[in-house]
Amino acid sequence: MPEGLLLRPQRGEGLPGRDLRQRELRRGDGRGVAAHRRATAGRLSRAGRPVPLSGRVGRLVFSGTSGVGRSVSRAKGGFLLKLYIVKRILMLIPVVAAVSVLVFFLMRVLPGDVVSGILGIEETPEVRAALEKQFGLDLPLHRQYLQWAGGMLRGDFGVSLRTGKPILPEFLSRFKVTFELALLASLIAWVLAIPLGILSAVKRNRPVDLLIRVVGLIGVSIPNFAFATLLILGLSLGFSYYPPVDFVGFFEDPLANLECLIFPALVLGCIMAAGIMRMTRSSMLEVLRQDFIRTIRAKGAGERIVLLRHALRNSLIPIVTIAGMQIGSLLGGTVVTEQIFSLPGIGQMTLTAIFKRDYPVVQVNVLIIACVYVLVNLAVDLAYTGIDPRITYR
Amino acid sequence: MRKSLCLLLFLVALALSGLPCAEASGRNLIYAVDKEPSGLDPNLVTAHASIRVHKQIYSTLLETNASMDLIPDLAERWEEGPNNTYTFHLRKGVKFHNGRELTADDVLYTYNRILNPDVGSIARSYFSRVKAIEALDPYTVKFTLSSPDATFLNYTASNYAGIVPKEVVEEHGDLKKVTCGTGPFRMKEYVEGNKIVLERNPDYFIEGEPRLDTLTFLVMPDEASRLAALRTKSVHLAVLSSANLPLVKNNKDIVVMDYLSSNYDFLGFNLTKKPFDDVRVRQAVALLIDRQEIIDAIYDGNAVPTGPCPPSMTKWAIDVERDALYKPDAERARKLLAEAGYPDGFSMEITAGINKATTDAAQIIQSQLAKGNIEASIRVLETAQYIDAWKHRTHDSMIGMNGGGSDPDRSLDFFFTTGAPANVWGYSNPEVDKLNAEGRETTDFESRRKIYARAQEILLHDLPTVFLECPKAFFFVRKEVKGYRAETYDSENFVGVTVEE
Repeated sequence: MPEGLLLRPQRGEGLPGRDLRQRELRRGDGRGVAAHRRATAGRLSRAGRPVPLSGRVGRLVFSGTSGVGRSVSRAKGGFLLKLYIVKRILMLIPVVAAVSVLVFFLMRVLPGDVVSGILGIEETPEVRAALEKQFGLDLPLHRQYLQWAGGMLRGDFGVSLRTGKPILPEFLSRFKVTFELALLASLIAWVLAIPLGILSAVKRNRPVDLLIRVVGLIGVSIPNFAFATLLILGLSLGFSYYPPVDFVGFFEDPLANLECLIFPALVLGCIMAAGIMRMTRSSMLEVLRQDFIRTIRAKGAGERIVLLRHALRNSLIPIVTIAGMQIGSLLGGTVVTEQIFSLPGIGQMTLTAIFKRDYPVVQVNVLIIACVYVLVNLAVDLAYTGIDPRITYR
Repeated sequence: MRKSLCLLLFLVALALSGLPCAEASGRNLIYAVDKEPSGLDPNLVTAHASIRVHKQIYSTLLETNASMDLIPDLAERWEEGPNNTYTFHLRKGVKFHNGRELTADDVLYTYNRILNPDVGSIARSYFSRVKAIEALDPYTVKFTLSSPDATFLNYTASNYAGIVPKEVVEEHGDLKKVTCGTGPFRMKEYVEGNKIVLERNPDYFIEGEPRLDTLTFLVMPDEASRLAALRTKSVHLAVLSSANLPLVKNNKDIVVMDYLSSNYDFLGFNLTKKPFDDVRVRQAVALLIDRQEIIDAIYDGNAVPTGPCPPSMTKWAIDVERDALYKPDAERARKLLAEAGYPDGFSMEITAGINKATTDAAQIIQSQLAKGNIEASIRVLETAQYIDAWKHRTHDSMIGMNGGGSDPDRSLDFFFTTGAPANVWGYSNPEVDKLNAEGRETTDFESRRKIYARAQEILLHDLPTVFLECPKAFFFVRKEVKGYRAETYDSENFVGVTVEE
């Protein structure tokens, strides 16, 4: 959650506790999901006012702003938004600097080093000395760091010490796989989770709700290696089918690419779906209990409108937050799923590099993943304005 | 809704199962391997994951066959001359994958590269006695050694001594990014983290070989996935552990081939620490260990007890099973401990790497040692930390797997001579040092065998490490693959192999 993302209080909104809520919002950097959820859900429910939505009901009851005023504030909002995006992107600089220092020195603190990783028991003092000289590991640590950081600033991402190959091209080719996988998994998760979450909330405590909740609980609890292994066993024994072992890129052959990715995406998607579904259910239940829903119903709006246009939209903030975080962590690589389905993603690359202490590879991968994480968070924060116009950026 | 979703999923699976592209076919062999190579420069890399690929691309002067005899590779014949000289006569008309003919200069260049300390080749120590290398003519190379060296010929067959072309190495600095050898296959495609496709070298010096059009190494880290892919014919060949044997027992499409590995498991002591500096304590530990129990529990019976030379080194290994210290005897162990001043036992730590077989074995040993009142705790470390621990000797004892190699010099000198690179135990016995030095200089096979037999007997008594067992390794092969051999010193050789539909 961003610095400067604030909730603009509406007229008549209960103000006590506002500061606290703002602080919780500011702090929601990925760790305080629960706190954030409480804050946002509580805010929406206690606000006592619905979001001023376009449409008959919203305009009729709650529209307090004139059309002109709204367009002025929209223009101002556009500028603020751009400023906010620039500010957030500028914030990447200290983040990248801090992460680079952290990952560089942490890797050096770990016992074992890259030379041992390459040579294993074959190591002799003279071969070690030769390799250390080749890799520049004989220099003092701070000079090694400056050399590496300087290279990065010049756009030179370096080569893997283990394989001697340039890091960036391999990272990019693997990131494409991970990116596709994360996207497909999220798509599956959303398609499954949102309708099931709504259904579960609407049919609260009825058998179908119970069933969905049990399935959701299993989804949250099941480790993805177990699910993935069972899926592979089921496919190979039951259908004599194994997903294609040759990975094909999307632009080479979209259909073959889909075939490569569909099962791993299904595994990740189902597990993600469980979390989102549970969040959708609880968030929907909170909103459905509110006065404005009763008002909308009293005004004779159809159940579909009540659920989809009003209740769902007001429930979206915590759902988008959790989904954003899940996508962020998927983009960091999903080692286990990649391993089981033999996908050439970045998780596997980073893990091997860590085990072999291939310093430059770990450093570059962690740095880029950190940037991606920050950008995904930014996208989630921007999505908040789309969902809740009361949220503005300073 | 959930039901119809399940149905839909299975329908998708069913529809996809009809797609033809998932099946391997033709004279294209797909081999599912567990790890991606860490580079393919034959003189520099050490990992087995690399060797199994680059040995298809590069050739060596000589080769070792299944029965550990030296056979011609790039050298069609060789002779031993006076004053420790060896002359190799190269095949004529052998071409590198870039089309240039191989000559004696390339052999010269390769060995000088290995011997150059700045290159950092691990094979340098193999050829430490090479004094001079000369090209007598374009097809004849003469090596002169500073003193007799029985290991020399054997090491010219080492996977680290692949002959490389001078101009390619000089253009690229090394062979990490490019490959160019004289082997049966050449590089076609390398997709990081996914696959390496090699194609037939049409100029390979053995007529009609290789028979495969392509050989693909597919990286599949997960064992269950490799088995599933093998079952569905997505791959032809896979390395799998003995745990999968019962799963394919009734599968007529999969043939299981096994061989005794050249590796063995050990429990090694830190001899610079008390109480392991006392040979009686080490012998007591050996007497408490029941190897058969480990073999049955961990390897389902697919392993045999080993000495310092694993039994797969048929010419050199001594028969260890008659040795008194190989018969578990808790009473004698307790007596030895009491003599050494530990009547109530002691506590120790077993350091293990992330190899599942050895960590499991550590647990069994833990319970076995309890019979001698030795309280063992297990510390599992990831590989880099494990190597760090043994290099700095921070361990009490270590369980692990060592490679015996194909020459006893490697199994004995490398691990047990005072100050040798892999002597991480801190073991020092002047008699063993002397025997190892003699063994290296004795070229007569029978005398050499006797020297190493004596060295092994001393080690079995001194026990710097308890030599546990030598496991079998398995290849699971589709029935369509013909001509594949699983042998300790000849596996993963794809010359003569074909795929029949």
